[in-house]
Amino acid sequence: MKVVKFSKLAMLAGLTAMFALALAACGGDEPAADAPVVEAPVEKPTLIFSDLNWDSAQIQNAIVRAIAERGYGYETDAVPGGTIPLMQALIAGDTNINMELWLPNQQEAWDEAYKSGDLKKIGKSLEDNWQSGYLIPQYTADANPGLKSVSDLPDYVDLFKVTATGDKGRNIGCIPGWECEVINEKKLIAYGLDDTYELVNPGSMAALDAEIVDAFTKKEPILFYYWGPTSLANRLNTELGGYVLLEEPAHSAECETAEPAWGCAYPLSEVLIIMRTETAAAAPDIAAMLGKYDFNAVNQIAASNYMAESSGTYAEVADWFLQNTEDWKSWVTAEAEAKIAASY
Amino acid sequence: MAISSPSNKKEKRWKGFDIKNHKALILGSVGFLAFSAIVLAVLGPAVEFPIKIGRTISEGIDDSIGWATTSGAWFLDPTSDGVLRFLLLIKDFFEWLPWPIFIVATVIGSYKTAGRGIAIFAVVSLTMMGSLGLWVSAMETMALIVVAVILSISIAVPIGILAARSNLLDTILRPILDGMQTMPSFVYLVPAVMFFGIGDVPAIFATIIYAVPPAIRLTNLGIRQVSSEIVEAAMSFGTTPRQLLLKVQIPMAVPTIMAGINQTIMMALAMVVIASLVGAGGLGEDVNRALNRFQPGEALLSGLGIVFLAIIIDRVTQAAANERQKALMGER
Repeated sequence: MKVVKFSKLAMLAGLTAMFALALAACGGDEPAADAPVVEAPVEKPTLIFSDLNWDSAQIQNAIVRAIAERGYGYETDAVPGGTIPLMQALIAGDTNINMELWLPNQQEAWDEAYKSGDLKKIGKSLEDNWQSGYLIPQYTADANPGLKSVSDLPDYVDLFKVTATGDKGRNIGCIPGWECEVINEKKLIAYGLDDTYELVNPGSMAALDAEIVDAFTKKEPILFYYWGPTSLANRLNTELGGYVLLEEPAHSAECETAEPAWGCAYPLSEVLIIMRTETAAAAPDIAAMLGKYDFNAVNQIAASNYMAESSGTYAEVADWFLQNTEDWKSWVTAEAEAKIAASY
Repeated sequence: MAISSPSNKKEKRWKGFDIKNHKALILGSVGFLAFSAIVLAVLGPAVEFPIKIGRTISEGIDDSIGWATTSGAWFLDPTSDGVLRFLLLIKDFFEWLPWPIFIVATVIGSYKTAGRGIAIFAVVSLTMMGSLGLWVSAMETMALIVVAVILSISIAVPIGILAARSNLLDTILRPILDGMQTMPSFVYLVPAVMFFGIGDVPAIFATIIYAVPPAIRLTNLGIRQVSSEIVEAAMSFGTTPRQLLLKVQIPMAVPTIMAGINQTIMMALAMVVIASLVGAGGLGEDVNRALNRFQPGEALLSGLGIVFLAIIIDRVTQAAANERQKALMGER
């Protein structure tokens, strides 16, 4: 037995030695092959984007990556994931740009990271164009002309009743764990709807979207919380007959803290572009570009429509965007604009 | 190096490699290398696949799902309603059940079947779940599991019996069951929402898809395992096929079927968090919410709740199966 073992060991050692030799030989060749390469490249950080798992973030990432690569000569990468893990990745330095930090949904995490000085607000993303509230389909609104505002809802309980909610109407709420989940609960009480409506947890965005599309396809009445312009809201408008936003009292800072709290509409969301501080310092041209960056609702809807029509990838949408729209030219330097145009 | 080693055995084995015996292998390798070289030379290293039909097929599937949800409504809606009403009944029961009664009943039950150790574990873990504030969620999860498992068993046992009696069905079933167990659940979760609406019903259906295969497999196996001598003996006493199945084969297979059901319960519990992604409540929802808020502590506690439930149910059902096995051995 021992003899056999020794021979196995000897063979292993021999193989390892040969492998090491081969490696060393390769290693020895490399510098020689690389030697005639041009002068040392300028030290540019690789831009690593948080590839958040929803459409608008991925479209924006693709566009900014294309601009950074083609116009400014950066290498870029993207790490896919959900909101929470990617925020942790950004704080840990595994990624260095996040194109969509939603406030107040991530207020706590952002406040903490901002205090530490590791992260920096670079610009605004989608701001002022985005809103959220309670929606009903256009066909439901047409069939029920009296249903215009949240205060009309108690008269229409029967319309939204389902088996799971018994005598109450079904009000599909927000994703569990998001700030809007808590706010929706407060609103239900503030509007006096807690006796007549039940907030139903959709579980995840995929399930929420599936439920909405299914109801719209079958022309069934549905009352749900949503936000837009998202690709789904856009699809409801273009393909499925449209939606109506129920009226709510205007938002004010006081109503958030009044008793009962939140008897008013959602404020316009704040969506920030944030970067790690050291990356912003190492890539000042990108930080400056993102400061001017303004991917507004018109751009968003155009890109989203193109994507739906072409069934293309996000990278293809970005290429289309840079070749067929004008807005981005005001974000970049003249030099970068020329380089991007030349690259196609 | 290996050749020069002092081991005789090694040398013998090396000498045993006779080229004559490996002609096919050598010819094949040479042929393969030549083919690769030609492909590389003609087409280059990044060869595009000539046919692309993925998108056409996936869009066709999307369309047929859309079609099925509308034109299948006559079947889907009552099914969904029936399952939901059954679940609401069980849920109401678990919600109504005062916790001391649940704990005492569980302890007595686990002491009787699984012994003192598990009874003590049940007391400690259930009181802990209560004091951690997980009770209501745990009961909701229990209701979900009970419904999913009852439905699974009522599907699995008949199919398992049929598969045991027909080799053809067994052959057809095997890859389907493999698919059900390995297909990522997210894939059928969203269509389930389109079929059954948001909430507990699609969650139960997704759970059944994932959890039903072991019960089918082990029912099949259990009946096939009943020894041919016993079957022959029963036949010689003049049993009808019906009696053979109901009075001989199924009773003999019960321990194996129980093992399958035990697996089904465990897999159903493993689906709890995924089920919460389509709006199912309970401990899974707590985990989902905690993770969306980055509260790993909360998530871990709710996750432990699932583990506690799993351990108690697992030990009790396993002990019951063992007891049945022992009883059978005694009978023989």
